Amino acid sequence: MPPKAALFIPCLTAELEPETGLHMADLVERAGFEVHVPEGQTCCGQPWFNTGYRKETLAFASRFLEIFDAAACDCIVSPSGSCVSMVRKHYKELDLAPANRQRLERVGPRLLEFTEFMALHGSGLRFKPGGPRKVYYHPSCHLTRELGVKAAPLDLLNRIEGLTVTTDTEPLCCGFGGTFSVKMPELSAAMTARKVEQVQSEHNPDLWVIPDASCLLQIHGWMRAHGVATPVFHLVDFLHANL
Amino acid sequence: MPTFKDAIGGALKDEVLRRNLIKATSHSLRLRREVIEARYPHWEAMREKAGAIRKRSLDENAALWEQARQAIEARGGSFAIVPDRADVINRVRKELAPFKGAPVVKSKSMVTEELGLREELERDGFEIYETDLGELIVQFEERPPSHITAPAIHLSREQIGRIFEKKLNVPYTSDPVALTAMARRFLREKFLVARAGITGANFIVAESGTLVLLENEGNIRLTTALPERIVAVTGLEKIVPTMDDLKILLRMLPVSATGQFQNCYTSFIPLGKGHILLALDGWRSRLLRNAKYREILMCIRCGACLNICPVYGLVGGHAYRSVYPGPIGVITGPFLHESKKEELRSKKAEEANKDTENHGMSSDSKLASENLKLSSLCGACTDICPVGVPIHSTILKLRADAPKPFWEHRAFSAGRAMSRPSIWRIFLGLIRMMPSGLLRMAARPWARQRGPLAPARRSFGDLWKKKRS
Repeated sequence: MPPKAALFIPCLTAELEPETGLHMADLVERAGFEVHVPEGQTCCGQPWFNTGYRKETLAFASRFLEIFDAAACDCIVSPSGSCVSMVRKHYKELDLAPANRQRLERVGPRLLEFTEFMALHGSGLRFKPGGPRKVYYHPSCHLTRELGVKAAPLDLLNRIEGLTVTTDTEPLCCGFGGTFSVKMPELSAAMTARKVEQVQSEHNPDLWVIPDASCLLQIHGWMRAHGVATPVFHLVDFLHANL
Repeated sequence: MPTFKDAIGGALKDEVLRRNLIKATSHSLRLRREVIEARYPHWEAMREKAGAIRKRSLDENAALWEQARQAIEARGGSFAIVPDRADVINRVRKELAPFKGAPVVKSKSMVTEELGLREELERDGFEIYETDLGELIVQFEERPPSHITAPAIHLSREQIGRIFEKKLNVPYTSDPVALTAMARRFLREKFLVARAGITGANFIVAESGTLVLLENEGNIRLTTALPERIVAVTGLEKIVPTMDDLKILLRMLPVSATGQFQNCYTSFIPLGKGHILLALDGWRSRLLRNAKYREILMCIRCGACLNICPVYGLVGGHAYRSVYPGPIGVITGPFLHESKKEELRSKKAEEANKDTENHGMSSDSKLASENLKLSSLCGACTDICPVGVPIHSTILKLRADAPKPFWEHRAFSAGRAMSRPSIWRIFLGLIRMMPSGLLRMAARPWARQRGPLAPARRSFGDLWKKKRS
């Protein structure tokens, strides 16, 4: 019997870039897991939490914990360091009911960001050569700093023959910040401008690879609106395209 | 004072400011990274150790100050913990009164900025000169410092040249060496005749009552050596138990602040005869009693979180409209601004206690609440802090405790319903049915810089079901 993996598809991915979810399902399957998508997923509650509405976040946390605890899978995989960090690092700061606190103890350690999952279980996957291209990997803040995942995405990309992978050791935020980009749209866009200008001038990549749909939305959106033509991919989509 | 919107909007339009900030902050960050890589392979372990020392300094705060007092008084110096702003200013005024005819030299101190001490004394007729080059520049510019350790970081050398031309009546130059020499000549004259000096403190060592000051320019050595009366003003949090504890902080502070392996001069002054040390209490002891937020006081004012903050890097210090800008300023603000109001009302001990239960926040500290928006929660501040102040998670906690705008609160309360899959589906179904023009209009301020935000035709859930059926 193959091990079971549940997919946690963040709301941005589910509604804006659903293909990323399908690609991840495929990659997880090829890593030898039976894939499940527990029904009734909505949002992890991070927009509420980050804006200061902790009591209101509870509704989302409870639903998340109930659904994924009931799914009883060996692991839960998600293509977003930000949402994973919300569950693993911040749910415990909420005033959870005792039953949900117990669920968190079971669910939290099983929840893996996609590149963490690949580092543990994906070593068997083979990728075709990616041509002589220079790839800038954007280290998303929550994946890098809150989850401390720095090497796994780079290792994955480096398995694609022919790529030159570059990144920043002190990553600059893309400026998204969830409700921050809604409350402070100009400031947030100015941060993106600086990020894009810095990467384009210091790294001059052929393409960008981003591990999180939220940074991708922000960076790619800004680039399109400002006529920067360098292609931008979600890490999952990029890997999938190189299978 | 400009409104929040004007302050941020104005700063974002100022391209000279942005260039100055990015140039200076990235320079010091690069040096910092190089020094840490070359010299401090165990930086993380050092952070933990330094954090533990800072925690102990807060846990044992009262006892440590008592120890410092004994050492200082035994040598004939004078020490007092001063409850609030007005008291500090009165004490300093009294101590300096006999020296009023001569210039007073002052070294850099954020606590004195907090108090507005220089301006207050100038109104009394004292002639006071900032002797730190950056501080002198902003004194000439007649603006507050815009950074904790680099007060004039918002200015280019050309802008500084113009300020000197106007204030010192010298020919315009943008050559930093020439400008520094002008400031030096100007200040030397003041040093030679000054009879009193004012300093801040980087640290006070409890076991020996030693005032510790770090600098690069030598102005602190002159400020503390030449005049006959020295008044040092500091905050309750600046105490450190022992000389041994100090060692690691002396390594971590300069590299965090300016990227230097070692600052040029470190003064150790065993406070005694002719010295007066005033430690400011006010909001600090309320914060010390506040278990939820006291870690804010671990800060050693290196300014690294300002340098790395992507928001600070674009808007600069003045946009925060508060003495302490940047991430550490955002989390200090709610307590600092509360304290100012507290002083305006007559202070009541009971009220102070009640405030602690309210997390020390007032219901209408508008500026402080507004500044809480100045973070994308990227966490770079928390990562870089040499003593481990959990800065971005403190912003999160403060956002949760801050008063909420009425309509926002309503919206987020109602939005809770979206945790239910049926409501979620209906909500997204409605969005998918909206004509794209209308959708674009609704998301206008956001979309202007990022292009349209449109949901995919079918959500992941639908695609998945189709694939599996």
